[in-house]
Amino acid sequence: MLKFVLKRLLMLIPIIIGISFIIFAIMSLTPGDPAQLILGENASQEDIMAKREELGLNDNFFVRYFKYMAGVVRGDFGNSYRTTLPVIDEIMVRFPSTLMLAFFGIGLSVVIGVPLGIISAIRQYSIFDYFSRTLALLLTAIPAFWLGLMLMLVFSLNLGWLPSTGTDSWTGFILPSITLAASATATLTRMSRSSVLEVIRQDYVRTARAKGASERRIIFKHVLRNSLLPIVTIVGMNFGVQMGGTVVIESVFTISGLGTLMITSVRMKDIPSVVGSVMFVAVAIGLANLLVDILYAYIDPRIKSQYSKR
Amino acid sequence: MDEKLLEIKDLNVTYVTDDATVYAVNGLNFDIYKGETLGLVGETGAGKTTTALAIMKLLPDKIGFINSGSIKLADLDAPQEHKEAKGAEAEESEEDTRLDITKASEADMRLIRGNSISMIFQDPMTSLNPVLTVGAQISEVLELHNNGEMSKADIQNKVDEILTLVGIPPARKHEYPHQFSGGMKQRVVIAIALACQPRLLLADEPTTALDVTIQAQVLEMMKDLKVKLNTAMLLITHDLGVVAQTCDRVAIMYAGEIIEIGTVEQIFEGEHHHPYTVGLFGSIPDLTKATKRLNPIDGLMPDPTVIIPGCKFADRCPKCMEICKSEKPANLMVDGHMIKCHLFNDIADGTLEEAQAQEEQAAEETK
Repeated sequence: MLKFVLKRLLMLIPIIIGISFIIFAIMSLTPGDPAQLILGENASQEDIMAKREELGLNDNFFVRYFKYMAGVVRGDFGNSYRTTLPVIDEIMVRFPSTLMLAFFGIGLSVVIGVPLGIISAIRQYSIFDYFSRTLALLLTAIPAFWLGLMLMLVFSLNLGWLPSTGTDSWTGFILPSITLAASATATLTRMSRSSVLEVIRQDYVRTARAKGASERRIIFKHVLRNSLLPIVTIVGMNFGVQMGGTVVIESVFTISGLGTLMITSVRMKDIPSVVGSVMFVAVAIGLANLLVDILYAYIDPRIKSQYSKR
Repeated sequence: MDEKLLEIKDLNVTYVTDDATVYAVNGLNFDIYKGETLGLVGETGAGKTTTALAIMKLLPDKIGFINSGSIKLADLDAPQEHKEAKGAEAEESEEDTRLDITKASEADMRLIRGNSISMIFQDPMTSLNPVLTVGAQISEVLELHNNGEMSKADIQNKVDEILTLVGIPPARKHEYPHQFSGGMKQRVVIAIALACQPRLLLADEPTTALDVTIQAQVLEMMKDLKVKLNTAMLLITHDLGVVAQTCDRVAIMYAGEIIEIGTVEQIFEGEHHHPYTVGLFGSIPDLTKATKRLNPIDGLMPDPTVIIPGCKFADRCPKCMEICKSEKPANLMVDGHMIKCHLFNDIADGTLEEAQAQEEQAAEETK
């Protein structure tokens, strides 16, 4: 098991190299001159040439990539073209907010979605089931920006309970987390419901009934653990989505997170900022996936024995 | 005759779905005596598994219903609380104190399942929980029916004992089902079913999913265990060879009805048979003759969603008469065993119901 984890950690290195190379190439080889974008439409040709020289843009693409990666290995992610400040500083300011947001969002969706789905499955076609399925439908159908604005309207403007913007204290995370959790909750509810329903129909659940086990014992001991695999998968995937794709929520609640940084940097052709933040997100997603795979092993002994074989 | 362990009378089971109502078991009558092995034979869809599930009261929730009839389980091994609760009533009236499974509560059934009656399911590959160790799955049934008499160590010892009994080294109890072969898994399933030494074992095609060599081993083992633990068994199968090898009595089932029931000798060697039984035996190829073609019964079983006024086998029966299409045959006693067929209306000694009534009267007179 330890060997498996180490292997997977080592595998992150080629992944990071691959991702950084692809992003670097896309940013460098697509039309648009960073120097021009920084200096504006009316800058003179000389100024632009000087800026290009300063940013090292006149070198060959491969040379630039190697220089950049050589810096990354030493912990230097370069300076932002836009602000001239070290990229790492900017990321370190924004990364915690994004991470917190993702954790709260996912935590909330798990706490609400999974039990909802499980109870729905156990009481299939009951009023509770209809209620939770309708709720799931609503939550997927509501656009995040609208939900965010409505929450803000009610809880910040009308009731004045929670701040509408910023992440100075933890209360600032509440509304954005709810907004973020909405669609994830819907997916998780549907997923847990169908997963539990599938397991309930398995032969081994009938075997448990034939042993004289109570319904409660059957659910807790025989059904839940077996239905966890797809649920864990979905949670892991949600984490990836929420790390990179929270721009809408960040802009609605004016949170300075990685999503916003990436979008503005892409627009400004700020190559070091883009590549730097993408690498951070990639590592976070890679670690989340590893965590999911480790959880698989603890849930299902068949998967565990596969890991130790390799 | 021995004492009756289970008495099924006029059992009707239907499956109700949005599309149709399936009449799976219709007016079923049979008894299982203590310690005997009763073979339940019939083609796919005849209602064999449904019968077993009805006895366990494990018909699919909200779909399968016991519409009428009774399944009475002899009182001696009914749950203790139940017996005490019923005790007062029983003394007042001379009425039947046996537990009627069709009317039993879920709580009562939980005490019976795995304890007095247990079941071996068809497919050992899917009958074990993949995330629990084999030992945990065997000890679970012991824990569930433990009334504080056994300590944890006792239970573990019992698990070791039962594993040895079914031929699995006890050291393997910490392994998971995926580490076992199909035959081994079936042994585990049997171990679970026998752990509490049930009075009645419902074995639903226990060997169908296994290859022939393992089949023989498992059957041999079940036979041994049955004798050791004095368990009665309902063996559901469509393998007549298995029946001849293991059963004391045989019931032939067709379209949710028992059409012939008797001892193995009566069914295999008797003179008079239901035409379906004849067809069933006729479809077995003879080893001593060169057979070019197999000899199946023509046609298919009738649609179970349609109620048929006459005999259900009429459409396929080579000896079909006018009466067969309009009137249901009675449970006739022929040569000492029951046949449900109009062919024997004249030579029958009476009906099963009459014979049973006589038997009961005789029993009372001896008292």
